[in-house]
Amino acid sequence: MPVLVEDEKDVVHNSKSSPRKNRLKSHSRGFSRWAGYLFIAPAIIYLAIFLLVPFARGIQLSFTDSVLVNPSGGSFVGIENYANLVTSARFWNSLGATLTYTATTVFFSMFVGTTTAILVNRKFRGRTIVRAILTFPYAMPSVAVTLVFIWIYNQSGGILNRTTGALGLGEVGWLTDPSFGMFSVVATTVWKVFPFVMLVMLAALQSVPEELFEAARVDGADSLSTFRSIVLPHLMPTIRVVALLMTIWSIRRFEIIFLLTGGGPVEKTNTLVINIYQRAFSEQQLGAAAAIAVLGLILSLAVTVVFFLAERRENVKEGTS
Amino acid sequence: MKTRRVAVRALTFTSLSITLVFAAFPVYWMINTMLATDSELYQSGQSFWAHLERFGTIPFLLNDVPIFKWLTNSSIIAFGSTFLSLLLALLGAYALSRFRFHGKGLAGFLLFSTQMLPEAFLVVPLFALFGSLGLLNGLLGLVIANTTFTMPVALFIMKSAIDKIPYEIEESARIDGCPRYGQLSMIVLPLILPSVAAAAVISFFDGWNEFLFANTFISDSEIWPASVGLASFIGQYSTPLGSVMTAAFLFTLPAVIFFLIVQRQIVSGLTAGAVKG
Amino acid sequence: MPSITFKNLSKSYGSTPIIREFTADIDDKEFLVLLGPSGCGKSTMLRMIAGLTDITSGELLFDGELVNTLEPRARNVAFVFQSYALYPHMTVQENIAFPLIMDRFKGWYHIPILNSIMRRVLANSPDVRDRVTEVAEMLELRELMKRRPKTLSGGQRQRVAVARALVRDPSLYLLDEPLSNLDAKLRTQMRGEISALFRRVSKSFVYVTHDQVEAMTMATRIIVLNHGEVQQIGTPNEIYNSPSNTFVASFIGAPAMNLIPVTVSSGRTVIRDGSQAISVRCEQPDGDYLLGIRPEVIALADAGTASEAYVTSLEHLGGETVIGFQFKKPSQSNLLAATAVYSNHYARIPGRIELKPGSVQDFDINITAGVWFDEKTGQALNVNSEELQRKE
Repeated sequence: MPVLVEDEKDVVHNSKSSPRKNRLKSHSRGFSRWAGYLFIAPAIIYLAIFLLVPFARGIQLSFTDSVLVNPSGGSFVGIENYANLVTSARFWNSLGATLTYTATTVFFSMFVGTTTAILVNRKFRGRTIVRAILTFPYAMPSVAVTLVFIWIYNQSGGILNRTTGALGLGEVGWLTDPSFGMFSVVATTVWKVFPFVMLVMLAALQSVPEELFEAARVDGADSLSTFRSIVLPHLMPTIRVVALLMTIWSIRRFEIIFLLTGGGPVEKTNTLVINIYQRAFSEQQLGAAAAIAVLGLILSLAVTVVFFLAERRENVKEGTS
Repeated sequence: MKTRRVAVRALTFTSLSITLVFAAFPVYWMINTMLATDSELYQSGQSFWAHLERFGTIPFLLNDVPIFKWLTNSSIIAFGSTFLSLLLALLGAYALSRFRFHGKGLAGFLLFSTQMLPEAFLVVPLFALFGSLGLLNGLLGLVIANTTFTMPVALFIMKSAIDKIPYEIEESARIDGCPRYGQLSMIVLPLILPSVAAAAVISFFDGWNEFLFANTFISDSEIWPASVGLASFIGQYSTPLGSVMTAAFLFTLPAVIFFLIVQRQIVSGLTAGAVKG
Repeated sequence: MPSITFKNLSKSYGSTPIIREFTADIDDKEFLVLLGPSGCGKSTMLRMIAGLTDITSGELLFDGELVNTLEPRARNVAFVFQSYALYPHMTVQENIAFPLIMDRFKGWYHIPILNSIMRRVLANSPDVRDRVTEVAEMLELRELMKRRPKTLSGGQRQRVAVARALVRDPSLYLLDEPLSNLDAKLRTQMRGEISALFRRVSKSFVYVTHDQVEAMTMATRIIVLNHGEVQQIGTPNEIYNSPSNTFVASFIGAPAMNLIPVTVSSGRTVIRDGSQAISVRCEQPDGDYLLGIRPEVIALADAGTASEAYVTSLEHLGGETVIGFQFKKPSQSNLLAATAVYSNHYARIPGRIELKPGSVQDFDINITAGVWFDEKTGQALNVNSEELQRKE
């Protein structure tokens, strides 16, 4: 079939992209390597000074008994700080608080965020306004958030207790009662961060190809099974990434907890980050604080590594690596 | 089938309404509290309906709080770290996107690591370092500390934007006699401006909202940023709560407005930063 | 201006060779086409000439001067990219002016802010403006000067790319598949325009394509490449009529040259698949060959007078008919599916011919118009090329 000859070449031509990519990568090898170093140098030097040096200093501090007023004056104490930590109930409590806080925050913000995204993905009048209102909390600075919530949680004048009082349930020390402290902190955090999950999920939902829905409709699938078999698999990669971000950010989070409860009541919300701060700046023990930081860093590293290993396995399974 | 449809619709409407109230109520309550007097708040009980007619009193409320001085400090920190972040990030993003060199993977990891490293883990050694460098109790120290964490985010946002530019366009400029730095400033930079804007907004609000470093490094209330200044009212009752809320509202306003404008880029930017590591 | 000399030019990425030991001399003012299938290294070659890709080993000379390490700008070349690579943020006018502005740019103009001011100043300088206007007029772009590339059609973008190449009056034009993104009709038109441009500017052109029609119609000289190795260098005529090996023979022409396995013994040529002898005497020494015959040289013959074959396919192209045939008796499935290269041959016969697939038909294989290839090496055994040249 003679006419095929030309067509065939076109097909071959289209598949050209992979050798081209290779070529471009290798192209910049020889002559421009130094230029590459030149462009990356400022960022790396900056991080070396203000990230790596403090990082190394932090590790070094963790082996000393340095105090706040004289950070360089401490003497080497070996692994004493670490030994004290692993034998102290306070540290394990702090680790437990971190895990509880992270797990509940991630779960609820993922749940609320994803459901809301599905809800506002439908078409209805005023959708833009609704979405704008729903994103509000994320844009609000944490300090402002805590100011409002402290007042909402207020023992006597707060709207929560006035409501429970009116309902005859009595007053609750939302931020002072040990059985409610963690709840209040988590609720505030979820309020603040769920819009982020919602926005990312919304973007992912909108990227579900329309043909898939049509195909499902043709196959006579109802909306629930459409969701399960089409939308959810499409969302999974995004869900995984957002869950990782949420986890890392939860381990990192400081202001909301610090300003709402300061780690109380009775250390119920004393996460590692709060614990470090208190050790360093209230109790002035820099060495001990640095040791907690090192252990905490190992924890967040472990989370990330586990995530990337899982992600890689997932990619291999899907053949998309 | 029809009744089921109605049920789904009712369920959607109900859950959406609940979420909407959940999201909007604290914001409404902030405004409500702004406009309430201390005696209403602590004694007679706050009215559920905001006294919107008192909006005119807002300027007087601000007399109790040096909020404008603090907001100025916040802006200096925010602008400073935005400028520094964008400058370093643009060069670095160009390098990571367009060049091949030894240690590129390591550089990428170093940048990415800042995203999983809690600031609080660095606050102790940074405090020690800044103490010896004389950077404590000054805005420059905060600019530097913030940039450490915002620059990598900005960098990844810009890198993924540069990655999308076809290589040929720069090669074409090279043929036309445009040197490397010219290609960056005249070709690449104009093409990634939307991403630069998103990175700028993210960096700005990281600086604007930042609390931990400021609270730790700055002891002089004259150079407090608004975040630290506002937090100082927690647990003290001498300043009217309405005034504090008003100041907090002013602190919130620019953040919300900017965020709503560039929302889309911010979200894709933040996730790009995390995924592209 | 320049004659281009390639001396053992090689390129490899890591251990993967892309171009192997390429040696050639190209005269000034040639329209040189680098032709080959994708992945043959033709684009890499062009990029090495431009200075966009560094040369692994060997020498590249312009007018006898080594340019291996020169920056693209110093080589005074213009490059038209396959994707056109127009600057998306600049208007057509700014795109065309960019090379001129860069020529006049001093180092300190690159200071931020100053750089955009100086670009505007230079763009408005009379010599730049006049030259841009002149080129725009030449390519009929006057109406589009304020538009951005995004708003232009494919053909218009292509013209802007050419204008930008033209504006600096370079001595060497390099074009990387510039027509491959256009539709068929526009492609034909632009072929003509590029040829006209070549005659008008009278400079050297190097043009990369995988499309043999572009090569045949525009080139004054063609280099056929495959797997990074030069297959043949020659005029379009030489490439078409005396391909140097079976690769070139089967790459050029649609349908390509027929390669018929034959055995020669004492002057008799026997088609191996058909076990029939061709009556014309043959000068080749005894042995196995591939006989290359262009489809248009084959004619239909009455039964019993020529080589008998089986018709496998029929395509009416209006003015002519392309008949697929093979010497072996085809099975039913063979008739339906496309058949292997060596067993299926094509004849191009003027007019509309009606034949039934599967039927038996005699074809006149004119071996004097054929090219003989060594069956093992695939190399041509230049016997008939002289005669062919005369015939043309």
